[in-house]
Amino acid sequence: MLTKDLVAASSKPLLLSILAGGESYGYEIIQKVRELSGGSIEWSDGMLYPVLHRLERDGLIESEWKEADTGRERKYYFISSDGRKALKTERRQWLAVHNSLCKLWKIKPVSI
Amino acid sequence: MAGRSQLPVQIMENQTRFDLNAAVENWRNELAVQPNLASDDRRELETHLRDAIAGFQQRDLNDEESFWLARKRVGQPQRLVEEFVKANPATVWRERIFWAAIILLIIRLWSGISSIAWAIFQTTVTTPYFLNKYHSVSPFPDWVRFYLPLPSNIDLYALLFSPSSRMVFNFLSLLPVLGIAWLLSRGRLNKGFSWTQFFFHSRRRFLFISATLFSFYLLLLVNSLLRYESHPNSPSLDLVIVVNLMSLLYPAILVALIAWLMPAQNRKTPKRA
Repeated sequence: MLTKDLVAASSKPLLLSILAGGESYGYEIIQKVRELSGGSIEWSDGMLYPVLHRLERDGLIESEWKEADTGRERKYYFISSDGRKALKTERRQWLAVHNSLCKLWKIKPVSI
Repeated sequence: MAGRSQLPVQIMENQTRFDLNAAVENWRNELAVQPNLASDDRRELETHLRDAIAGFQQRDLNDEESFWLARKRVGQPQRLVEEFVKANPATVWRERIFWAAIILLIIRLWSGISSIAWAIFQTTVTTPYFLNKYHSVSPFPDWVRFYLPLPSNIDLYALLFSPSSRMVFNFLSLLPVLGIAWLLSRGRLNKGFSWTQFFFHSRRRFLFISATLFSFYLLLLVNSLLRYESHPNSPSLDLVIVVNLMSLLYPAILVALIAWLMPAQNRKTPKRA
């Protein structure tokens, strides 16, 4: 399990990366994160929305109510062009941390 | 024989069956009590709860288990609201002012109907004749008429009560309208009132409809002002024009405020990146 601080810090790059792959809604995003991390990143469902709303307020993502195939409406989120730029920065920073740790732990680094 | 012996068991099952819709409804009401949650957030949380329930049901859990697990996942309403407010402190106030403006505008329109009806009848029928006629043909009992924006009410108050008690009566007669507006703002009346979304589909539509109403009112005003000159002992025409135009200022400000504060999802959807 990740610490609270790390969950908070990693939520932005995770959300932006998921939405860069296509629009999605809250429940689906949580399922995806759980799947990707093999259960080690466990987001509490209700806390996801404040994070999404913060990103939306910062103009990194946008949202829209749309009818799903089940007939029910869901609020879909998608990434904006500012969000894509922010994702590039995030990616550079996280890989910088990752690569430094890799060198220290003598694991093969990833190209940035 | 087998069918007959199964029957009582089925009835027993029906009696103790968990009502999923009622449970979700309860949960929604619990959330509605939280004053600091915007209606859009509430709606979003509910769709999430329903998705989570459906997810558990797919894993062969029954309705009751699915509901309680999903409810636990979504979290305590109190904690949720704290986080939501932290993320977007302005939203709540934005929504409150939006609804206050809508309620004020509804009240203005509701009481404005009487003056418009007044203006129409004044141009067609002479006043005493109309009033007499109105009282004799009115299909409503007095207690219903009290809550309707009808010209006769105004004359009744003017004749019977002092200005201050007239205000109290005006307020009392607005209570049903206020009640409906309040329920709407809490998201409790969505079923019968989905047609109101027509007006709020987009900023442009809302402003267009408002402008149409305004010009209709102006036409009536011009019409009655053209006939006004004939009275000798009343205020000057200029004054009447100014007072009437000023009375339009208040609803115009409300309309502008509502258009400005309209929730984002009702506006035209933004272009995707």
